Amino acid sequence: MKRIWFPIIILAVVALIVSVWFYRVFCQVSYGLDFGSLFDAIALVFVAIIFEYAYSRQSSEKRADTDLLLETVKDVKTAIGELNLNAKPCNNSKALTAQQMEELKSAEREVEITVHSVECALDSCKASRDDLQFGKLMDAMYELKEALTDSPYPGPYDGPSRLRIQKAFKAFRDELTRIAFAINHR
Amino acid sequence: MIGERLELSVAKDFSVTPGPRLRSEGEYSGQAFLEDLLRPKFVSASESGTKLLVDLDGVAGYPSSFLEQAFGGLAREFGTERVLRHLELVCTDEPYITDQVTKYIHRAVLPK
Repeated sequence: MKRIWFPIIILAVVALIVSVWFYRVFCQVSYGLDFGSLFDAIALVFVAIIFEYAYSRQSSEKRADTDLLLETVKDVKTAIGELNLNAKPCNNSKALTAQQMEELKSAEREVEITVHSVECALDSCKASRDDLQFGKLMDAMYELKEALTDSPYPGPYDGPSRLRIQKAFKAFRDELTRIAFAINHR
Repeated sequence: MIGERLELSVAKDFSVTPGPRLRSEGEYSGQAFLEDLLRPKFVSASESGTKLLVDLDGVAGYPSSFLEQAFGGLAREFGTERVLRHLELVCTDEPYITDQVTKYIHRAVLPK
């Protein structure tokens, strides 16, 4: 980027010098500097600075909100990774043990809690849940919970059930990615 | 009406580890909860014109099959409207559990 700007600056300076020389040589223009013009120029610069400050501040606040929202989305990603690990026993051709059932339910609950944190964060920074289609993430979460803990829970899970679980995980991850992009682009 | 409300705590009156859908599938099933606790208390509340408050707190997670069998089963037997009129749910541990149960009550269909 610096390489593009440098020749542009050189060209601008050369153009300015040529323009001034042209008008001095060929034009009958007299120009003077009075207090009113100077005041106008200073006021214009001051207004420009004010606008720049206000825009920068708003822009940086929005950036901070986006970063905080994306942090909450990252927590959901961590929780879904943990749930995926605890769902591995569903692929065995045996029913889940009591411990596996508890670990699965606990991990699933953690996903719900982190999704709720995203919802609360959206409310805190007054982002529109409808605009971000947050309901789709909720639907994907409910489908994932049902795929894991509806019949034939606690197993053994047959082929169609295992496929349902796989699809539900993918759908949830895709929705989470979509929400992350939507937050970043708002 | 609030003073006459009946109460039922899943954790204290049933189990802190709700299980699968049916009795044949394991302990603390949704079927056992419905038949042994939820239905009798709901009938009492309904016949006396009060509400049954079901406390869902204190439990280590609810399988969907448990919730659907218990609350969906209640709605299949008594009708969605009557269940929603006489049932009140409270849960602070899981943020979306009451929405999920309400959904099962609304879409109560024949068992799978």
